[in-house]
Amino acid sequence: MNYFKQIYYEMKHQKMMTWVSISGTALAIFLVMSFIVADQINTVEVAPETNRSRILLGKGIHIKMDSQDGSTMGWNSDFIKKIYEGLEGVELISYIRDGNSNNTLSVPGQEGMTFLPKRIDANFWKMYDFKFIDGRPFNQGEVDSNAKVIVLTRSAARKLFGEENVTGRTVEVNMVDYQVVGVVDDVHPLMNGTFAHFYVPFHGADYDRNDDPFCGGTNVRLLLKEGTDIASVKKEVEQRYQRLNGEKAKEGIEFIYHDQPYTSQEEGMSFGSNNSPNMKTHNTVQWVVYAILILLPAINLSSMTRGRLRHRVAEIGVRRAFGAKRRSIVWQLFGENFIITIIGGVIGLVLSAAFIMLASHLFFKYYGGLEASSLDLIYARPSFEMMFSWINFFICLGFCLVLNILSATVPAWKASRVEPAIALSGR
Amino acid sequence: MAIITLKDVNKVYRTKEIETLALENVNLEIGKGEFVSIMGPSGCGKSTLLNIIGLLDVPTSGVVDLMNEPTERMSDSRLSEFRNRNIGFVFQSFHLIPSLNVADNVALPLAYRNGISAKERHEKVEAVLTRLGLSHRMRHFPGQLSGGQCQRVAIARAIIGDPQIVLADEPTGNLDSKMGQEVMEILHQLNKEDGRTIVMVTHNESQARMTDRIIRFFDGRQVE
Repeated sequence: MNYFKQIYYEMKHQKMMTWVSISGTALAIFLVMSFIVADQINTVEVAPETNRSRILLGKGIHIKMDSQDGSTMGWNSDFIKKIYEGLEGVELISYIRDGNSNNTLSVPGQEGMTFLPKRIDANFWKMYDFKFIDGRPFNQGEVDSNAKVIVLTRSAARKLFGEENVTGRTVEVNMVDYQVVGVVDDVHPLMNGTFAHFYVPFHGADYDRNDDPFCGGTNVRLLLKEGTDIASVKKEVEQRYQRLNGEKAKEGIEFIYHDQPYTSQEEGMSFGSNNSPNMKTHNTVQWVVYAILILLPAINLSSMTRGRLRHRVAEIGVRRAFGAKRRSIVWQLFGENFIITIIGGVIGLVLSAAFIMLASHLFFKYYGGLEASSLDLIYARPSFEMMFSWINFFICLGFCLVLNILSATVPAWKASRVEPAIALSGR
Repeated sequence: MAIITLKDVNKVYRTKEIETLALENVNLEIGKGEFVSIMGPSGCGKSTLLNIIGLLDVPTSGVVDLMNEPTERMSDSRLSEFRNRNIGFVFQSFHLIPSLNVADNVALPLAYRNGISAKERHEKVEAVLTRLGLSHRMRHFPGQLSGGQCQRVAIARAIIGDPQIVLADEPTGNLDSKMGQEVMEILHQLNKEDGRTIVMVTHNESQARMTDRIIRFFDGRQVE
């Protein structure tokens, strides 16, 4: 039997019930997907961060000295290698400076403007999927020799030069001349790992503190080989810290690693610099919230489904009389209900995306924008491809399935158990 | 040769307060190709008997054999299969599914039968509707048809699966005399031309007299 045709006519026949069911489903999916889509922004793989699931961040080091607590900050450029060099399962290491501090850029004859930098090494270009619209990335030789080279984003190039093909031109960064070697496509502000207006070589030693063998200005990003278990990499880092803690115990030094390096989901979570992200609690709370948001509408929808079926008791009797088995009845009702759930689900998904776009200030913020003065708070709207990823689509489909099972199981099972003679009499 | 055999069939409806004897010790044999009418006052158990013969209801005690096959040990799934292959139903209130068009209503029994392609299904639907003079109504919905047309669609649905037994529960009860006559002619045609066994519940004495045999019921008992 053609479910689609039948459900279409059923919807026409029971307009009120249908729209209440679709609205209830849409509301349930909207509520759940608003949370999920917002959460997924931290993990969705969109260029240039197409390897997010394989990239880990070493955010900083937290040291206690003679039981006196310090704050988390970047590593000394040599010390960081003791922790992260040579880890099993790591394909690439990129040493960077991860802080946000706007710089003034200017070209001759123009007033300086503030832009957000990212200081990186050459591996950074290999780790991420940047689209070069002009020129090339800088290489490790240029990084090691502290060459004054710069890669601009399309918007920064336009703002500074009025055009995009500016390779070979000179730009002043904090009063020092840099040569433009390339221009990349703009990066979305919610891409934490890559967002900046310009990229310059990172020379870790420049940020080391003279009297501090551990702390400095270096952060690290690791690209894991395909199939590497993230937990095993974290475990190896933990073991290295434990070994170091054993060596330094006599000096009263304790390194606290806070479950680093972080996944993109952990990185996107809001937690203090000296705290660890508690993924277990975070995930438990999330799933409890999702369960409540799905369960409550499911109970209501189940009653509505039963109400709809009450009008169709005789039809079920006819189907049974002409040979429908109980399981055929159950499958048919599940199928019909699923179509209604999917229609509601798609509406809910679109509503959740619209809500996130309109209320983005509740979800996302970042510092620094081309139009802003230094460190102004900017609200970012996620892009279409960030919100409508296949992952979100399948999560939504999964929730629709759960909602369908929860709301249709009891009514479908009860309907299939009615004796045909009783059903035909409409009782 | 009997195609329908009932032996010592009783049917009791029980509620918390009351027990109602709907059928009492019914013994019945209906031969292959027979056209039998069942008559009696309202509430005498005619429809209950038809439901039991049609395997839509089970007797409280007794034996029902259809086509020489005992039915009391059949599973629910087997009963569904048996109904699908061997029994066609025509109801007083037609019981067409309002959300399906005529073609889909008629094709309903084939939807629950394996091994029939969509093309074959369509051909069968077209053939049976042409036979009943309704081929031009295939895409119409039950709400767009007259009572007589609805009942002809219901008959088409009853015979599309080529069942040997057709059970008709007051098939002309909701029709005027002209339409009722048309429906009776079709049922006789199915009996004579196709050799189908027809068991019809009716209140209409003249229609009953046109059938091969009349079985009369009173208060759940067979009186004639």
